[in-house]
Amino acid sequence: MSSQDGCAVLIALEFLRGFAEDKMCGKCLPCMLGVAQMVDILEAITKGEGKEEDIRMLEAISSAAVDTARCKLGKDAAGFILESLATSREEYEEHIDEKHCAKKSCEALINYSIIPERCTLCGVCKEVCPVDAVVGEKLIPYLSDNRPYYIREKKCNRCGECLAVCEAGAIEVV
Amino acid sequence: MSELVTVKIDDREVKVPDGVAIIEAASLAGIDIPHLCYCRCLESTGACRVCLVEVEDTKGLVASCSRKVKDGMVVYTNTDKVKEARRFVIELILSNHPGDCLSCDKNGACELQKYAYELGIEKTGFSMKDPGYAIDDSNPFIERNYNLCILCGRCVRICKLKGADILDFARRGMLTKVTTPLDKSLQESGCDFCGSCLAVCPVGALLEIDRRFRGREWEMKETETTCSYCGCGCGLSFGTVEGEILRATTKDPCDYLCARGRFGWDYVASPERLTTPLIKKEGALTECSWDEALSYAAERLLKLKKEHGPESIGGFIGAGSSNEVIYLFQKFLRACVGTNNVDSSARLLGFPGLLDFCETLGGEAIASLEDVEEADVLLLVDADVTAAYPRVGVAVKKAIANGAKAIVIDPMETKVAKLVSLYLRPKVGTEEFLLAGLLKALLDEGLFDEKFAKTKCDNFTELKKSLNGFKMEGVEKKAGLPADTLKEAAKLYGEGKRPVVLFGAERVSPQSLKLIANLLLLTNRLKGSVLPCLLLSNLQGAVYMGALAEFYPGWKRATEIKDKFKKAWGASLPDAPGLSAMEMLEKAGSSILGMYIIGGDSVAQFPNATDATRALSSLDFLMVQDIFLSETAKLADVVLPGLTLPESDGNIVNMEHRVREIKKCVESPVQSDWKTIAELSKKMGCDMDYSSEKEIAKEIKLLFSIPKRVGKGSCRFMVVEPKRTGEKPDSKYPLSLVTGETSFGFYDGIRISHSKLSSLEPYGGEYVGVSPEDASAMGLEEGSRVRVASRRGKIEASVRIMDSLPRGLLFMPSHFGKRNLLTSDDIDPETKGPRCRLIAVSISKGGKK
Repeated sequence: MSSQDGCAVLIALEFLRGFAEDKMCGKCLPCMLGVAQMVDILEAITKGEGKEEDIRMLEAISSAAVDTARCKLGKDAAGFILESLATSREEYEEHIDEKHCAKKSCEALINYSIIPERCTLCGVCKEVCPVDAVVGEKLIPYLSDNRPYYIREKKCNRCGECLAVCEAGAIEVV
Repeated sequence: MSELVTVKIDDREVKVPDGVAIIEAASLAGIDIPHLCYCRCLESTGACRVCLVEVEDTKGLVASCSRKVKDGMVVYTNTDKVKEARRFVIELILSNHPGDCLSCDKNGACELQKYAYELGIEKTGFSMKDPGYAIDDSNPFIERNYNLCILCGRCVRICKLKGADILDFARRGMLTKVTTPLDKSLQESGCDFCGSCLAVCPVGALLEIDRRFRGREWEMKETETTCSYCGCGCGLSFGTVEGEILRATTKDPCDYLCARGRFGWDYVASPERLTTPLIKKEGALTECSWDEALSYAAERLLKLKKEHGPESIGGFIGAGSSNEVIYLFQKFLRACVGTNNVDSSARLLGFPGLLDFCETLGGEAIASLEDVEEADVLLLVDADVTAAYPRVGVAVKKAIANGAKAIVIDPMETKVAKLVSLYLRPKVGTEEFLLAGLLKALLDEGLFDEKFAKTKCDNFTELKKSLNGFKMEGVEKKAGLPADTLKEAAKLYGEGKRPVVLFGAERVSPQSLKLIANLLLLTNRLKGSVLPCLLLSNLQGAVYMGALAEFYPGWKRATEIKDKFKKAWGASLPDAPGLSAMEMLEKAGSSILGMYIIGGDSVAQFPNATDATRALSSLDFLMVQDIFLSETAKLADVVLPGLTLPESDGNIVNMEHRVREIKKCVESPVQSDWKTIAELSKKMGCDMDYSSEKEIAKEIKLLFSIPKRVGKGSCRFMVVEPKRTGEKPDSKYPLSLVTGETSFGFYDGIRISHSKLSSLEPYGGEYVGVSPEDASAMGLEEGSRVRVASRRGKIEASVRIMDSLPRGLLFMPSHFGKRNLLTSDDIDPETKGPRCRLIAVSISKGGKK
């Protein structure tokens, strides 16, 4: 995912994960353990499990890590999160308070749904769905009951396959 | 000495040496800056970030363990900002430390716990993480629970500095973990079990298995005493709970202990210890009371004395006893029995050759371990320092790490030989040619103190003359080393500013000893310039106490000092010179009829065990006092239980000639060895009224002082002609065999065999080391069973292929009990000790698994 089309929370999470995979040496404890804590918190937020105190916690960890990390790489990584919190605070709040991701990039916070007016009852979405979340019957003139398809939210794993195959543009992310 | 700078720490002005880290400067000012990864004796890494401080005019926080002081620096160690950062770091570490202090053995000594308490952290504010690593307790001594590891890296650094260098960080980032190469067990990784990592671990990640759930820090009674294994005499502290030893450690975690010192104490509590005296009745040793045993012994000894004279009785004492016991033992023999036939293990392990050596050079020549650490050139001759005297090994490693150049002369490529600048590998038994070659090269190159040699040493011309005919080409032919290499070594040693020579006193030949003395005299290095490495804890003490037949206490020849002792002891003393241990055994059954042996398991220690056993069996009366029913004790008519050093009070003298105190750390049902001697003496009509070891120590102090300055030294060159040492191999016995030390074994064998340490020795120590070349030539594989035979006997052993051995040389650990069935009791006429540890053997396939 490029940084342009994600929400701030996901960008921050991906950034830290990338940092941990790549540049982090694991020798200085505040950087290593602080990043681990922040990754945990950010993960929870993107899953809609964020708690009220999470933003304060992230601020505390990142600002303390800026002060205590041994090298510039660690300090910069923590600084990135601090900056993200400062510039995109509303996005974090939206994720935590409303369990909503306006940029629709946090899988757990979005739903796929079929717009009944547009559905042509072609059935392709049902065919590609790996978890059988799509319910509906293919249109057979005079035989089927001619009702639009729908997606069962609980079953849906938000893989996005249906969205990609729907020629009628009947599937939307909400 | 570096210059002093002034720094201000928390408004306290202090002068500290330039270049020290802030944390050290603070410590000098009496301020303890909290820290986890920092350790005084280790290189700083600045990893934990607990020691952060504020420095005026510096942006941000500064790690006080890695930032050096500057003149005029102003430091604050306890501002709100500092405390906040410290709290943050400690809380983060706690989030990664899923332990429960309630049942942790480190409770009360844990540094993480200490700082959490000081900062008032009840619970971490972060989410707890548990890496879920499996706990490793697959070795007998060290439990590794990396779930509790806080990655401070102290163990990694100390292992590199003092241990086997097998620990490191593996993986990276959030998955970082301390581990061994390929995450193998400690044994498989070549760990030498010094346990230094245990001493520096700030938390409960590394713990002594023996102490788990048996006593918390504050429940342990700590007794500071001295290790009783090799001649280093390292200070150690036994932690005991209810009279049981749970742990040995050092007061300062930076001080070193080897595997034997740290883990080799469990023999003390062995159920096989002797606790009641035994008397041989109808051929079988049966339990009896102390009084019965001592009365019977007194009666037998008096009878021998009356019928055959005092000269028919002899005594031998192992050098593992304290000064007080050894002193009393020789006093008993000399003043009560009336014979100078008293000897000790010192005879077998380098003395009295070493006495002449010290008298030639003067007492100041003996180096301390600090001298070794600070040396710029080291010359090691036949000294497997890391295995035999590990504390010396650490000193040598430290010197090398500090840039010292080291030269090793040893046919075996020891661990330390792999670290040195110049490794000279003489052909087996040719060290004397090499040393003489070195002398010659020093003379030829003018790398000696001519003025000193000419004016202070009266026989310099004699030495020069003796080397005139000596050809360097001869060395190449005999020892297999080219003249250029010798010249290089001579240059290295000759140009050293603070060189120290080290040698294994039990391995060098008496002639080599003289050549080394010449080397030191020639270069006028007579101050802290040589360390004779001694194998047993109190070899030096045994010699000071007079446990060599021809010497009285205080290192005095019996002939010159007898009158003084006659007066002091109030007894008439024998005129006849005493017999050495080897001579006593030779004459056992003929002129020697009774023997009293304390602690030295003669059958195991004496060369040519078959003859030694025969000799001891032929005695009219044999009394043995030991901690276990040793092979020697099994031959005795009376066996008396002995005391171990951790159960005794007293003193010993280490290889640096330093007196070290021994303190009782556990009570024993067995009475003190000195008491046994005193009671026996009383029963024989000579009262010895002592109430404690202290009184004996006082008497010793009145008679002489340790260390005795051996005067200025005679400074006489000892002219010798180099020879090939050892038994010459022939067609029947084509190989040479040397016995030596291993990391987990020990010379006397008896203590280690009753300790868990023995489980770390390959094949239980019953092996013969074979070089890879010899093994492939003879079709031997690791673990094959073979018969090793010498002119004296034949034993079976497992084959261990050892890269360190040259072709033609075999190795056997000195604690392999049966090895002495092979060794030679050929006596050196001058020192009256065994001539050499090198013998000719043959090896053949076969033998039971």
